[in-house]
Formats: sequence, structure tokens, C-alpha cells
Amino acid sequence: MEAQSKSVDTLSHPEALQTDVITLNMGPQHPSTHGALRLILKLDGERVVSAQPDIGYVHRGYEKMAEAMTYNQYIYLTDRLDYLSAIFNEWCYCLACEQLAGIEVPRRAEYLRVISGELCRLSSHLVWLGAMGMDVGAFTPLTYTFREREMILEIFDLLCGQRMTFNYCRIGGVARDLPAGFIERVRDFLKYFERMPDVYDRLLSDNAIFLARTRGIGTLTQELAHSHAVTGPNLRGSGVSKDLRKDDPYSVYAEFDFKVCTQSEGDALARYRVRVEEMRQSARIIKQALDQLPAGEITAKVSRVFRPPVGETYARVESSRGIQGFYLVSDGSAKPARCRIRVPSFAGLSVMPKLLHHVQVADVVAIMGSIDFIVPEIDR
Amino acid sequence: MSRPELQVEQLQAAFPEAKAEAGKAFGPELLLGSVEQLVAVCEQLKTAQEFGLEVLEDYTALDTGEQFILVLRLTSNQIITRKLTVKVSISRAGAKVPTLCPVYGSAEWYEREIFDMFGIRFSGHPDMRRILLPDEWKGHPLRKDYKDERMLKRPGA
Amino acid sequence: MNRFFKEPWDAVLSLVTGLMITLRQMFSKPCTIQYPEERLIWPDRTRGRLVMPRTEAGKHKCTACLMCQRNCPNGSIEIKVKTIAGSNKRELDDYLFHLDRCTFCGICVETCPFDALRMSHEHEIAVQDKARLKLHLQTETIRFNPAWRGALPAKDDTVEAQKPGQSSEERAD
Repeated sequence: MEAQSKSVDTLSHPEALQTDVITLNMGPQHPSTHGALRLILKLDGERVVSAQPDIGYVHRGYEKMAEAMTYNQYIYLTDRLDYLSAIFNEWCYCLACEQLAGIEVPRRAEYLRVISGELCRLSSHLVWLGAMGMDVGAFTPLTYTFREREMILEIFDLLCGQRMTFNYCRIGGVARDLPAGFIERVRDFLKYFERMPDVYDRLLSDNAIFLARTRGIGTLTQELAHSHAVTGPNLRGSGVSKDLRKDDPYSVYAEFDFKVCTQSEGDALARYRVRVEEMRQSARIIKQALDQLPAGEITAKVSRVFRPPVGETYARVESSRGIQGFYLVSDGSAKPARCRIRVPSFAGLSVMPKLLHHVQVADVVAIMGSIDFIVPEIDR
Repeated sequence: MSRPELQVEQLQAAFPEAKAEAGKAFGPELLLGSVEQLVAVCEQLKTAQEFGLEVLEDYTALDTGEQFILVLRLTSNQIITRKLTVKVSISRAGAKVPTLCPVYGSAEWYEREIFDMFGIRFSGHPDMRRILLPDEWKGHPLRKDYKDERMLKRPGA
Repeated sequence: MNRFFKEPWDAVLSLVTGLMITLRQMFSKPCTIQYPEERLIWPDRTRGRLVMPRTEAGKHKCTACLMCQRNCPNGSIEIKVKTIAGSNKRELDDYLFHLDRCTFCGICVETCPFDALRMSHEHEIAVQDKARLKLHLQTETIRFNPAWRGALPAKDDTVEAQKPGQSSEERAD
């Protein structure tokens, strides 16, 4: 008893200050977790001792559902995986089906996929940019980015009749050709959008508060990124120039001139810069695709009941969050025997416990925002 | 930097007890004879200079009805086009699978998912719990013998 | 000492830059509309609620071939068929559409061989009673609207003229 009450100079020996570790339950309903994600934080004062994500709140059994549906029926479901960039899910799934059956997609269809895909990447990054700004306390960018995103969604409404759940790709091509006035509309949008990344730059990139909240925060080292299979803008923010569109070109990406954006720092600011730069590159790709758009068919000849031969395949595309993959196993029937979905956010979130180790609790939100995961995709 | 793709002969020479094939889906395929080799093979694939496959991009299982097949997709972030599929068959009844967590960080969650969906247990895993389904869930949905009364019945089916 | 003043000054300057952008917005046209009073015009391809439109003669075109029921991924269509007394002909008895299961994917319209179904532009479909989401489409008498082109097969559409894309420079003159 006496030994414990002996006074210690806690100023020079802070470790002698005995504080309790408290558990903070962040989520599942929390405005900064971007979906139903629960994060169990153990806090020592303002410092995070351990962070354990708890996922599965929106698990819908996608891989199981595929076994009960025909190949064609499943396309529309994939929209609801990563709903902010839905076209990549469809695209990847259709790519896997086409690889299984050895279907060659007409060039016009590939171009339409690229145009819609890059528009999707733009809109997804716009949502992220607004949400990221809001996470670190800047509300205004959200209203601007959503205004631009709305224009993209209206373009999609014109193209395929829905704003977010497109159901546009088909096995062997796309569902419909461009509607009248579409090219004009996209060109107008691109012309308007040209100067927007600079506006965001002035709003956020030079903002002293934003810089203080993101510079040096949540540094993702290359070793950690390799080990946890992090892909996409998060990996490129750590200085690895890996982009499937450039390195393993699928579809017609080899025909476009664009840059893979990388930053070497690996912190939240670097990931932010990569994404803003990617928006500019996406706009460039769309412009080129519109210029080079070939005429022709929009779907290959595929029988109504799609029965691929026995076999298996693994198709990947570079979605706005990283590498999206579909592993399909066919047993020769009209329904897939196994459909495995590799999602970029799953790996992106699995790195979270390491990334959140010993950071300030206020930075948790900034780091989670900068990683840009999307929960329905993780939970599937 | 463009070093050649992985060659089947090169793989066969490095892993004589496994079977290397030219795969169609994702690079060459390496079929392991037994699951005990898995960790050692992955360790070598990751660290050896001539392979350098330091990314476990995907790790999943497959239920064929008679057995489970574990499917690993390995890639590299240095030599980006390089890819390899590793497959290993395990018996359906309680096979012991060693964990890959010490080799690949991403394996931790992937293995939890495989356990959740197929009921395959990984020995040495630091946190072998369900990941997507609730802890009290009965059965493992992606097994072919899984039945659930609540699944949607389509009219006419 | 220089740094002591410079850093806050730069910070204030960066804030002012942002505020200038916000200020400019005050004098530009609003990008929102006052919803219940003002409404957007929907593009032709918009996929709203499923309807079974009537022709001029007041008849629907459904032949009860069950194609939509078989292709619906969610099982939101349930069709009852009756045979006409005295012949082998099949006829639609009841077309039950579960709006609460529908995801508006449009596969039913796409696969309908008789053009009997359309996705209307009706989108304000929230109700307070779940029972009202069970719709019997054959009892509705909705007139055909040519603007409902959602999820129709590609060939029935107004399409951008298919020529190799013009470059933006060519377009300027």
C-alpha cells in the first residue's frame, strides 16, 4: 500500500501515469464509416491502441446467390457490389463470362464500356473527394462534387435508364447503343469539368487545415501494401505504379494515351493527390474514346441461354478502388458452379488494424476517408 | 523493366514435388501434392529472387462435391504482369490447413472468409472467427451440401 | 520570427482563396430544383415501375408465355394461366407483380417476345402499406406511352448516328 502511494514525477515519467484503456465502438451507424461498418477501437487517452474492423452488416450472400441464378440473371446483381462505380462490377463479370465461352466483344462495345467506365470512375472519385473533405471538416467541397456527379448520373440515366444501378453490360457487349445527343452531352460535360480539378485544388489542396489534417497521416508503406494486397489508388499513393489499364491492358485501353498517377509519400494527402490526378486522366480517356469511337455492332452473337463450356476463369479489371476480380467456374450448365468475387476494398480494409495503430483518435476518420473503401463491396 | 513471365519448366524445377501446368485463367498453375507444402512453397515464391510474388491477390476455396480446392492468386507489384495460380486439394472432412498469415498479411482475412463460407479451419491462425456471417450462424453457405429454408423460391421453379 | 507571421498569414490566405470560390457560387444559377413543384423530364430509357400498357382497343398483349416469370432474377412476377374452355388455348388469368421484390433491372421487358410489358416513368411508388405493393397488372388500364423505352431491345431505339467519331477540332468549324 505504501509503495503505491509514493509520488512519482509524472511529467518526466509519463509512463508511470496509469490510465485505463477504454473500448470505443465506432459504428455500425456512424457518419464517417461510409456504410454499415463497425470499428472496435481500444483507446489509451487520445491514442488508438488497437483497431478491429467488424464487417458483415450488409452481407447478402452474393457468391451463394450466383449458384442459383443463370449467368444472364446475375449481371444486374453485380451493380450492387460497389454501387459508386457499378459499371466495373458488370464489366468484370461479363469479361469473365466472355473468357469462359471465348467470345470476342465488338470494338464499339468495348469503347462504350470504356466511356461508361471512365465516367463511373469520375463520379466515384467525386463522391470520395466530397466525403473525404467532409471527414476532415470541410463541408463545401461535398456540395460541389455532388453537383458534378449529378451531371454524370444524368448522363447515365440517358444512356441506360438508371442513375446508379445501370445493368448496362451484357455478355458479349453492352445492352444498348448511345442515345441521340449523348456524345454532345458528354463533350459539354467534359468541357465544363475541365477546370473543376483546379477548383478542388484551390478549395482543398492548398487549404492549410486540410494539409495539416492529411500530411503524414496514415502512412501506408510499400511493404504493408504488398503484404495486404492493397491495390488501386491506395497502392499508387505509396509509389507503386501499378494500374491494370496500363500494365495488363484489357479491353481497348492500349489505344489511349494516359498517365498512371503515383505519389511516393503514402500518406492520406498522397492518396488524395493520386485520385484528383486520376480524374483528369479519366476525362482525357473519355475525350479520346469519343474521338475514336468506331461504328459497328454493340453485341457479339451470344445465344439467349448462355451455357459456357466446362472450365474456369479469373478476370480482373481496374475499378476505381483497385483490382476487381471475378473467378467463375462453369460445370457446363446455365448456372455458374462457383462465383468468387475479389474486391479491392476487402484488402484495403484488412490493412486498417496496422494503419490505425498508435494514431490519434481524430485521425482515424481522416485515414478511413482516405482509404476509400465501400462496405457493400466488402460484405458482398 | 520487363522480365519474362514465369515459365512452367522453371516452376517444375523449383518445386519437383508439385505439378506445374500452363493455366488459362491466371498465369501458370502450380498444383501442390499435399497441403503441408503450402507454407514452404509460398514462402519460397515470395522471397526467392526469381519469383518475387509478394502479393496474395486472392485466396479462396472451391467445393467440387468430393473435395475442397484452395485457390491462391499470386502476383507481384514489381514485375506487374507476372502471375501465378496455386491450387491444392484437401479432403472435405476436417483437413488441417496451415495458415499463411506469417507469409502474407492479406491471408488473415481471406482465411477467415474461407472458414466462414466453407468451414475449413486453419491451424495457427491468430483469430479464427467468422468474418461476414454472424457468429451464431449454422452451417457454411458455400458448401454444396448447405441447405437453407429461407432462400428465395422462384415462382415456377 | 518571420515564420511566426508567415504561416498564419498563408493559412488565412488559403482560406480566403476557398471562400472566394464559395462567394462566386452565390451569383451563379442554382443547380437544384424545387422538387414537388418543379420536376425533371425523364430520359426515354428511364426504368420505372413495370406496367402492362393497353393498346387503343383496350387490350393487353400478354400471351402468358411465362418468359418474364422465368427470367426475373428475384421472382417478382407470378403468373397464373387458364385454358379457355373448349380449346387448348392458354390465356392470362392473373399477373401478380411483387413491387417489393423488384429491382428495376428490366430483364422482363427485355425478354418479352410480344412487347407486352414496359417500364413506365413512374417512380414515386412509396406506400405506407406493404399489401399495396402486390400489383395485379392485368387489371390496370394504363394507356401505352411511346416515351417509355426503358430496357427495350437495342434495335427499337433512337440511336446516335453511327459514324466514326469526329474529333473536337473538326466539330469546331
